[in-house]
Amino acid sequence: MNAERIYLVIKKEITLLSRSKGLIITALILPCIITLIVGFAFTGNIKNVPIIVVNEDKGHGDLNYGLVLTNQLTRSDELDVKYFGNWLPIQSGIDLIRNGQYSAMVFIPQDFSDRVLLGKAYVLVYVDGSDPVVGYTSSSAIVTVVSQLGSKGGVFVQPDFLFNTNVGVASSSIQLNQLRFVIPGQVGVTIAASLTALAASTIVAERERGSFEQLMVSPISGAELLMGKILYHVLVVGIVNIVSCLFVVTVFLDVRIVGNLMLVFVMLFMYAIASTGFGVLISVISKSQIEAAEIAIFSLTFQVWLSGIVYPIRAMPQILRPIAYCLPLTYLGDGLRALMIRGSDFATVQNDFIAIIIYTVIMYALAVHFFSKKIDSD
Amino acid sequence: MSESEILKEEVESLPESMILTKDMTIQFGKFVAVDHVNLDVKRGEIFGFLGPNGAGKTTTERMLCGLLTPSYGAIQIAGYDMVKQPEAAKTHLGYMPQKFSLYDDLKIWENLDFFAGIYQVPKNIRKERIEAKLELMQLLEFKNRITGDLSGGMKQRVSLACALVHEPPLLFLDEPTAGVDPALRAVFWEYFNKIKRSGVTIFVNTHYMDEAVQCDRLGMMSRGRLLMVDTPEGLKDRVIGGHAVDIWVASSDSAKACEVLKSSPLVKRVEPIEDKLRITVTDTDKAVLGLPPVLEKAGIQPLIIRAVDITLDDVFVKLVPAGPDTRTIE
Repeated sequence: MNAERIYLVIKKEITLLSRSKGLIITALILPCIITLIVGFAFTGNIKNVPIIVVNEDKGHGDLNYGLVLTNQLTRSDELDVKYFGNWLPIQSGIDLIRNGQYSAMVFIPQDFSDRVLLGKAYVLVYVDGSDPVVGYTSSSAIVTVVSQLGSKGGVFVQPDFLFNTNVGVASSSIQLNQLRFVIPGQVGVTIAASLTALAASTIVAERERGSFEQLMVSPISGAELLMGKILYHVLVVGIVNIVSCLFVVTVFLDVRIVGNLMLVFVMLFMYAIASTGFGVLISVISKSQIEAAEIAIFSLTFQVWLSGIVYPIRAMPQILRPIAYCLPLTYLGDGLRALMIRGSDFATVQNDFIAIIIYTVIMYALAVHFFSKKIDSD
Repeated sequence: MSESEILKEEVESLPESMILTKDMTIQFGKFVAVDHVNLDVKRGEIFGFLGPNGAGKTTTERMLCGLLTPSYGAIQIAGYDMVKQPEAAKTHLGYMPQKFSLYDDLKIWENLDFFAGIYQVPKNIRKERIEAKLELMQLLEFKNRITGDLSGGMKQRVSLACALVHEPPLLFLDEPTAGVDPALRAVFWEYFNKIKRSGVTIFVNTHYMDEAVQCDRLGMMSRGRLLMVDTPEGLKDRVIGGHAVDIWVASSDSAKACEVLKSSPLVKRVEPIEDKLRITVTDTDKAVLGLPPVLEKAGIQPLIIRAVDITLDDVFVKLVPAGPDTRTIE
């Protein structure tokens, strides 16, 4: 590998970018604009959200309303009582939610049965506020079940949305809460779209222009050319996209990144490398720019809907879940939600990192394989 | 990397044979596109490559440039094995494709600077080098123009300047003047001759016979095989059998004139065509001067005598076989 040749390819790409107003807009400006514009929560029918039920109710004589409530929660289609206990410190429950194992916790106090009879009952509900659809679904399902219980005056319940309180922005907190649901997936999709589409056209564009042939008769190696292209996409477009999106998210959208900003950046950066690799692979196997664009668009659409950033994977039919777990966006969405919104630590997202790395390695191995085959075949 | 050292080599230190192939063959599935081609292009010559469409000219050139790997046989470019030492071999060649293929959005200068870097032209001489090539192609004053805005002829000049920027001792031109107007074609051939005089070997693919005539030697290709390699004159001699003159005589004298001419040592063959006699000769000038007295001695008055220009078109038509292409192996 010759460093100067790689540098020259990068410099050439930057010059070409600087000459194309259309590309500057689509590659560098559009991603953060889209992030700025999109800010909606999604709703849908969710099933079997895993929740914790802690029933400390000592009962009133033969009556134990805590158990009755637990049974009704178990019967709910939307909920799946995966953890049931008679005792658990609230903080431990919240930690379990933070780790992503459960989406909500219902805490039934010791004097619950007594209070039901007096018409003064309450339960404590904690919901994972980082996942839009799951958050709303589980809280509304719990509220529905709980409010059907007490005959006299009902049971007081106000779900506490964890990880989703915007300190100091009380005035528009409801809107911002919804935004916090959407942002991690949104940023991921935007960066994937920007880099995959751009990289997808890169080699095939040289081929259509004929400059590919001019390069292939020169002493530049395929590896040097690919490396230059990849570094350009990742270092120039990737970093501009990540920084501008995070800037827009934190400054204009007022979404506070709870976790380690450096980890968020590193995860997005690795995802940018992965997306570029996927784009380069598309570029290498496509015969025309139109074909490359088609593959890029449809594969991205597929990812957006199946990766769990719009619709939870656990709500999908069993048969589709393995597909979801093959998509890198699945891990990015999961990891970013944990890092940006729940403030999880590295241990929580390390599997997401590993999955993205594996995906990246596969993409580049395939790209290099097909590239070296392709040089000779036409 | 050591390309910069190689670039400094004097043209004289290069091997006598700039392109040397041994049984170069390529097969696409069952189709043998190029069949055991043995080429030996000498240093400093302009070698023209002729043949009908589909003869395998472009495939041959692509193999010589390292864009395709032969299925069988060996290729040496400037003494380097194209398959085993592609980088060293590629450093020694420049390539000007038929279709303009530089970056439209780069300025002329930027295109040349990019390729000068890719070919590792030493940094301290890069600027002068690019200027020299632009000067040679009369492009220096336009160096900051965006390449995409240039006219077709100018683009071709940029393309040639770019192929020369690393001063390759061997230049491949793939139909360099296709779609170029006749005046500019003449200008291009002036460039090629200028480059040749500086010691560069040129391998040119062409369809134009008036260009082929300007080559030192020609290779004639048909159906994947290299049929013949010779100078333009040599090809004419070998294929047509020499030069020709046409003589018109009164039709009553025609048969007798045939007999008389056949006995002359200047004449190789006599062939009546329509109202004239086509006479194949070894030397046109001698024939034009010497044949009328021969006829007059026999009492025949030649009406007109005229030297015939045998063109490469005639050679081409005669050499390229008619009928279906049967290169497929079963």
